[in-house]
Amino acid sequence: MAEKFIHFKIKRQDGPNAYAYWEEFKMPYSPAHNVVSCLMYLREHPVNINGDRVEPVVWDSNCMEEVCGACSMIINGTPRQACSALIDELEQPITLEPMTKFPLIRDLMVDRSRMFEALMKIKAWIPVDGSWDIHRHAPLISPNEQSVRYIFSRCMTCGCCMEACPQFHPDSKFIGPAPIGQAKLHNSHPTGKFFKEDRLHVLMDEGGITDCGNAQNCIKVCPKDIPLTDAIGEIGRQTTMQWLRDMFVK
Amino acid sequence: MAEAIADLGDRSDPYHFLVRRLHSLTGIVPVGVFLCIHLSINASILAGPNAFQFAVNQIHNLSRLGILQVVEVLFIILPILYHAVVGVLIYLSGKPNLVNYQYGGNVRYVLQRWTGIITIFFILTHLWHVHWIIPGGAEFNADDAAASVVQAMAAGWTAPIYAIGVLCAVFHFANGIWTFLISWGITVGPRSQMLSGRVCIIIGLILGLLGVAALIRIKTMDLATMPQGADEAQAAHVAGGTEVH
Ligand code: HEM
Ligand code: SF4
Ligand code: SF4
Ligand code: FES
Repeated sequence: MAEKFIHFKIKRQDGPNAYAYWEEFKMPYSPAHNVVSCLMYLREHPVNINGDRVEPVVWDSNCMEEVCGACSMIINGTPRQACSALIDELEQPITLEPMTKFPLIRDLMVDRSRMFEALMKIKAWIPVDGSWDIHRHAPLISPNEQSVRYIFSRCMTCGCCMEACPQFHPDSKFIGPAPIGQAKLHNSHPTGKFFKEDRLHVLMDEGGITDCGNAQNCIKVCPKDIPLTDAIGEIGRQTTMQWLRDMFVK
Repeated sequence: MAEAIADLGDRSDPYHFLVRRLHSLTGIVPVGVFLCIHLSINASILAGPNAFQFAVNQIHNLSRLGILQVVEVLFIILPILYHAVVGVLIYLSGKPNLVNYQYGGNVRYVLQRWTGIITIFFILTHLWHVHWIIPGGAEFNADDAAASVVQAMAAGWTAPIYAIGVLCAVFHFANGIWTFLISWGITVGPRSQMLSGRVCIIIGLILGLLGVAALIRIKTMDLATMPQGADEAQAAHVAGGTEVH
């Protein structure tokens, strides 16, 4: 029986300003590999398909269970997590590319800071400290509301939805779908509501909700099945109401 | 103090939201409403030249009041201009990625932009063709509506150009209603967006059908059997009109 291989085609780039090139690798097959475990093997055996020893491929990963979002890359054309991309379910040769919407650091590693900055901008947190006791009683949330909120809370800032969004790219100011989802999540919390108006005003600025073009790619690619378009509709509604309040109540 | 008057957050562009929501709104009123009225009046030619003349007279009564030009500029030209200019800026702000993500929503995103651009060129062509005098004298005459339209539309190029232009404008409007409802937060969840999608398809089909049917009727009308010249057209319309009423 012929020896089985795992065949990779990897888009590489030696640094932020270097040129990109494709390099192929073949490694021995064993069952139950995922893309990160293969990259680990290639780090120990950095030999390309021509037998040349090369610099090992650089990538980012952390949790290995699809909850940290660090290992996001484009695998066979789809943005997803490398740790949960099982080799046995992928067509070969497997192409790996870095995400294109974030600044590239090296090979498959990108800098997703822009997403974290966006979360700070929209105050994606719940105030627990105040000059008075904010949580005197734990706030009550109905089980229905909890289950909706839970889905949004699974966002791992992986960037897949941002990668697929035609309105989000290095030259646009659009904040992107994930932070809009988090704004909806935190606006629906009893104490999170304290910042609701601040969040809406950020989302009514340049790069806010109005820059979404309703292509709805984001919801298709989110690995956590987060209903981002619900959040976009909901924030559309909340900003409409806020706009009217700003106009007539203030 | 200023903060106490209106704390609207620290915005880099305080008018951004207004500009975008106004773009969205102008697409529906007045521009979308105008499109519906225009296509309905065109379609009245399906009921014959007199019915068409009657419909055109309803609009041109405004000119007897002396406000047709005001209405045209305020409620048609300026809103379309605004919507088109902001629309082109929005078009330029995106990086379409249909090659990588072939989802229905993404196809409509791209079509919304292309049909908008095509509509600009169509509107300009249409204005040049029927409103501004061109060599050959193909010009719309409101007092001799049917015959002058048939004459203006006699050239061969008009059929494909008008069909494409009208269908692009109709797609853009119908899909625009769907996105408008999302933008303003009227349809939030997938079920309501699915239902509004069906309604928009029906609106699009009706408007598209009206537009194409009117075009076909105009292209197949025989000038020889129609009332000719302004006086005769108006006389025929009055005769026909009294019959109808
Ligand atoms: C017959 C004339 C037109 C009508 C009836 C019309 C109608 C509409 C409507 C109802 C919308 C939806 C607004 C929303 O999503 O909130 C829209 C969006 C749009 N229109 Fe138009 N429009 C017309 C002409 C144009 C022209 C000439 C352009 C120029 C390119 C254009 C570009 C756009 C763009 C880019 C959008 C998408 C906006 C977004 O997704 O944020 N439209 N239009
Ligand atoms: S719906 Fe909006 S946020 Fe989502 S992919 Fe489309 S443009 Fe981007
Ligand atoms: S919304 Fe989904 S795709 Fe977007 S960052 Fe969060 S987990 Fe990733
Ligand atoms: S390593 Fe955390 S999601 Fe893959």
